[in-house]
Amino acid sequence: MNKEAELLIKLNDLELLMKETEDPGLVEEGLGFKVEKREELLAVRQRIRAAIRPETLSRFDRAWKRYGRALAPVDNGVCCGCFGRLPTAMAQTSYHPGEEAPSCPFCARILYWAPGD
Amino acid sequence: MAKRDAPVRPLKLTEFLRPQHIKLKLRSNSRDGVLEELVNLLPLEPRPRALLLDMLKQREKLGSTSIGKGVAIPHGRSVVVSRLMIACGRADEGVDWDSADGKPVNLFFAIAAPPIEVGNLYHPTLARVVELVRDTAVRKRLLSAADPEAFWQIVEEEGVAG
Repeated sequence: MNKEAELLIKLNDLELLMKETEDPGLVEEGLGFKVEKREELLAVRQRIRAAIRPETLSRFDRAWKRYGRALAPVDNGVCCGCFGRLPTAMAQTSYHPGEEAPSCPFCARILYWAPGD
Repeated sequence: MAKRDAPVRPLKLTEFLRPQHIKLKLRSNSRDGVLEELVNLLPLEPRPRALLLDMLKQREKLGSTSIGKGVAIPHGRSVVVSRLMIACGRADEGVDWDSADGKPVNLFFAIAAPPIEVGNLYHPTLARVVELVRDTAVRKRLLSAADPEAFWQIVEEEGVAG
């Protein structure tokens, strides 16, 4: 997993966290959990976004807006976002440090390969 | 023709918890240390584990996941997790978790879920854990369980909803 993939995962998880905890009358508060310091997370989000290439970030934002999650793991050559079988050249390997994170050719979610895949 | 309701399978917490994901002697006395010990119990590779830990720490920044009475339930969704999973820990000394009642925490239930899961069980599972540990008698039993298997057995008996 390269550095940009990790940043994208962190950003995706952070967006999920903020989404889960932003609605009024949300499940979290109803169960007794505190949700109070969103400013800190906004600052973390800004830091992560600043470290990702603008082109990748705009692909992330488009996918997030469309699907509510921007990343999809690859499992056995299949995009777990849309379950489309990836072209052989894409499906076999992960990408290397410095390379741009690829998008699924079918759903446009950004793909990532978990270690061991 | 009368429409027949589909049978609803009760939610069982032990579907997501294994005895090997329970640690009754947590060593850390800090919040980050306990989170790390809990995440280390889950069957994940090192990098996804580190990313999950990061997410749980971010969640704590938002506000404590302690619900008082000596219990904390760190939780969240992450793309590094492919299915819902639970890890439990116990710290006899108690750990400061910024609880609303000011009490140190002895019992920990960490819950991790993927962004989307079949059956959408994340919130019901979270709610079931909260319900389970709000029961004083159950808490006492969990605090005195002799080993992870005994702890798991209590969750197996009590952690059913539906």
